[in-house]
Amino acid sequence: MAAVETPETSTIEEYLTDEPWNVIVHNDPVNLMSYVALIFRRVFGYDRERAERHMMEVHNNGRSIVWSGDREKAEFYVQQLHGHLLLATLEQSSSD
Amino acid sequence: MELRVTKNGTPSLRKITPYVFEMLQDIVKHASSDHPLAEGRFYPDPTTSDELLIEDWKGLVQPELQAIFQSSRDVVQADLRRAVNRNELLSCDIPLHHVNDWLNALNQARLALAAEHQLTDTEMASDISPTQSQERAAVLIKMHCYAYLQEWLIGQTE
Repeated sequence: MAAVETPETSTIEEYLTDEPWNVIVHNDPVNLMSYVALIFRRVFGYDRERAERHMMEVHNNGRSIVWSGDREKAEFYVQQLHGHLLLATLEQSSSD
Repeated sequence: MELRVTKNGTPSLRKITPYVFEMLQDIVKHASSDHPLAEGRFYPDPTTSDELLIEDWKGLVQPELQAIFQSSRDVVQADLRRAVNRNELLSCDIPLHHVNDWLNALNQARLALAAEHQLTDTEMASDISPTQSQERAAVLIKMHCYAYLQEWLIGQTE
């Protein structure tokens, strides 16, 4: 029983904290830069300048936080990005 | 092969030689790879810290992603089947609403090739060296051709 209760408690605590969830895109040498920028525009509705800024951040720094907010939406965005074959993860801000 | 846009705005691959057509057909073959390294790249974990989410993801999200990827491959295969033979050279139209599927399938193919053959960043970024094995050079040629086609199609979406 304890093994079941622990994750439930942990999940409730996660939802109670105010820390947003980050959607992070990681660098991948195969995906084309133009493709990554296009996907940022499509998935998040970013304008060209913002999409390219995030793309360059991924390229130069190895990762970029492309969106922050509630967990459910972060999971949705990660799923969308995986659907376009981008390497994306979600992390809570405090653990970043 | 020539890359053209028809009068009604449809991207079209023209004057495709049999060799290049085989390379285009290989998009679906490579994209369908079930090599463990390719599968690992197609379905990455959504997080590094939450085992429960990773487990749920494999059970719920991964099948949806598999369906999306399969659907894109099916679209590419169907477009190639409709290719028209003109004086021993083929032409293949890519309806604008199929461009996203082509981009997805091309990406699958390139990711699978890179993962299976463990291509290095240097290999992918530089010219093909004569010292490379014939097999590796052939893989890199495909990578470059698929990337070129992808770039062109991205341009058509603007």
